[in-house]
Amino acid sequence: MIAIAAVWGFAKYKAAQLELAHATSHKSTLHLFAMSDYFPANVIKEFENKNNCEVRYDNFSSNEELLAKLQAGATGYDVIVPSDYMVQALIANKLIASLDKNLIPNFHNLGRDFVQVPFDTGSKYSIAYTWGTTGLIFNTKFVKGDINSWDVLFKKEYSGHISLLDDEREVLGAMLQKLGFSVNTTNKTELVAAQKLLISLKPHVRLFASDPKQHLLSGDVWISQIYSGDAHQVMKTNPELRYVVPKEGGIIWIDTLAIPMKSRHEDLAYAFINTILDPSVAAILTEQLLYSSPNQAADVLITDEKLRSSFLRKLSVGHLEFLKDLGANGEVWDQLWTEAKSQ
Amino acid sequence: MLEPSLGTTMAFTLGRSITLAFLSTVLCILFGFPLALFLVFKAGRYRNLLFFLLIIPFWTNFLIRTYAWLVILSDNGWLNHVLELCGFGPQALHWLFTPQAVLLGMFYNYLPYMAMSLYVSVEKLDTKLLEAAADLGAGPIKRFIKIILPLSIPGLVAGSIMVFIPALGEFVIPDILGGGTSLFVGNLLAQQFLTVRNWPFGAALSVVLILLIGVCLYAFEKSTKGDTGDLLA
Amino acid sequence: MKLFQKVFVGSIYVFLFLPMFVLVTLSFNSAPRGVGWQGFTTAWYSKLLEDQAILEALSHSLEIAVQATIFSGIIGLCVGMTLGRGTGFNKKFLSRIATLPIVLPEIVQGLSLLCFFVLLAVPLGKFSVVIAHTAFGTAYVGTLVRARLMAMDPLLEEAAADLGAGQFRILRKVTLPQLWPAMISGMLMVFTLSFDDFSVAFFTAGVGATTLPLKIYSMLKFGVSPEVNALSALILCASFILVTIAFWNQYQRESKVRALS
Repeated sequence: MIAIAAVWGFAKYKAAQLELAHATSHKSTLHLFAMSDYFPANVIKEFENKNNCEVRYDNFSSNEELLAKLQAGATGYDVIVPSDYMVQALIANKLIASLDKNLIPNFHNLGRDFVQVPFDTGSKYSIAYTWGTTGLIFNTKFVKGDINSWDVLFKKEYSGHISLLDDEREVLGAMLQKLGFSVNTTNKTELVAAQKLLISLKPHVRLFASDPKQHLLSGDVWISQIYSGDAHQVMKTNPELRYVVPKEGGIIWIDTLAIPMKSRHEDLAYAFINTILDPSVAAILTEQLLYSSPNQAADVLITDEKLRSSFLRKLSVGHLEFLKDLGANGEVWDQLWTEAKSQ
Repeated sequence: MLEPSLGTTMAFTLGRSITLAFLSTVLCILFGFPLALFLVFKAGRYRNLLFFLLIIPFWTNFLIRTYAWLVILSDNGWLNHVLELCGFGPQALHWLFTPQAVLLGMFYNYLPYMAMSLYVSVEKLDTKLLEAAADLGAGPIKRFIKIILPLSIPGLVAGSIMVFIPALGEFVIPDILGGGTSLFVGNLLAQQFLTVRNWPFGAALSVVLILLIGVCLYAFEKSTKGDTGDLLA
Repeated sequence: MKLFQKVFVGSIYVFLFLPMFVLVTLSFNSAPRGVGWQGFTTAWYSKLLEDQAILEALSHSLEIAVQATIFSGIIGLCVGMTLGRGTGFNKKFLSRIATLPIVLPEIVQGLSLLCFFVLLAVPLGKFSVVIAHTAFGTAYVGTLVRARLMAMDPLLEEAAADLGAGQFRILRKVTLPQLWPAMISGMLMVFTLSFDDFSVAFFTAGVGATTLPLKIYSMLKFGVSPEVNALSALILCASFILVTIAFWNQYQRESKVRALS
């Protein structure tokens, strides 16, 4: 009895201690809301030291979850990291604030292509953070031949060893591209065709994972739909893996930094964004995350050509598509995705 | 109001969840009952120790324990390594991210609940009844069927409630071990609320689930005529 | 036959403990993504202790668990006493409602609370999780308190009343001391449940309320760092120690009782 009470009392004391330490440190806190592992610890620590503040880093696992949480009334986030099409949705729902460029002196470091983006021309509400493509990664140990098409997912010999992203836009988008349609279509016939294709593929899919790195490394999965940044990271660990953007087209994406309407520490938020845009910081980020950078000024500091902002021009942007917010028309997508997944 | 296709989704998912919950419960009973019997009748002075060992998993974080299965069941994971050593050839079992893995995870997580519930119930048995039956010439099997089983029914029912009903709504285990390829009610609900943001459909599904649970609870209670009262309360 | 029984039971226990064993072993593996054994190391443990995000999640979990435990204890006590002693309403109906959180799937509880919070425009944060955990915590405490109350000897309270003690005095000096063990067990259970809880917190957590299970979940979904293994091993150890203490205590008390009788 005493022992139980002692342990309990100790836990209570520890918790109170932690809470007290936090409350008496007169530091303000920057609340960052982004996908997991998107900001290296050393970058955050430096920011904390330079600005005498604390950074709380909460995670979401998909853009839709971000939107759901913000719509459900989660206030108190200062910097969020939405993807391109989600920025449009956030603007439409009046959830993010327009940015005062005067408070972001490093803004001019961004490459022009990343300022005049289709989802937010002139970057009024969002600042590009990373960019990349979505494509296929395959393990050359098990997958022979020159892979360059979504077709490889449908080959019988790889059944049970493929994975798709757990994202309705990306997966249905890939199916649409294979059929030759646009990833932003709202045409019901085209969408139903894509859904049928997905349903036919589903029995062969091992799992849906937005981060298939560990499964590629463990050998459970041989071919994955993957984001280019993750691909670069995992290829570094296992050189037998190779990344390719399918010839039918891939998706090009830009993740951005934005400030929600109800942010309580706007000054810190602006300082954070400005720090990220600093060329040396951008270079460090790129080297560690292996995601491509939109920061033109940092190009000289980045060793891998593929990770520079200038690489965007080199990609045959022709068949790559940006995802666009579909607004109310997205409901058809939602329904088809739900049905397909529950087959 | 509900389009037919969303309705069939609901039906498929509910059906799948009910099957999974049912199979999990059956497995738990099949393994939990002998375990409880052993603990009460055969364990002797090790009884407390074994009970204690049974409780430990119950008190440790289930997310972590479920994650461990990822490592074990992986194609190149522990299980396959061991099987390879036994001569079964490499990558013998392709179990991870299949419904089998989900069932295994559910069984693993819920077994202690069932075992504990049965243990509590069997422990209360008056051994004199068994002695009397033995004196009258009943063999062990007959003793089991005629005495132990009927008197354990409250425990069985209580354990089944503790397994079947939470299992219906389970979404973490299918999410981690199932790889998202088969949707159960829990996953569907989480998806509808957090990703697809179709709250009305999610709410409708929840209500159906709650009603289903209510029916089950009522059926369970009726079957024991309220005897489980002192086990749950 | 006897051997078969022992093997059967033994394999069940092996099955139950296998994952924990695997995790602990893996936490010392120096392979970067836990694939294939690559030599012994304690590096992950030191990395873990420096990981700010995980330590923060741990402190959040503790804060929430402590608060939920306290509230559950107080409210649970009231619930238990009402159920055990109350009169004048349909007790069976109320007792079923009170035990509902124990049986209902956590996802249903989490979702309904989320809708509830959104409806009342309660901001999601740490406190929303505390409320959610208290909601099911009271059920556990209430159930245990009620059970203890029913098993209590009412004569003690009657005797105290005969000796002239007022209602409040009886409560303080007679009833509560006897209920105290049940309350403590209940609160300990709530603490564990709250600390371990994932499903409910998943839906009701808001800004800066990332609890340890939530953090582990996002680590599982997005690039597992072997730190998770080290973290798991530590949590397993901690739970093991806690349960051992609780059991040792129980054992001691029981043997004292046995010695006395």
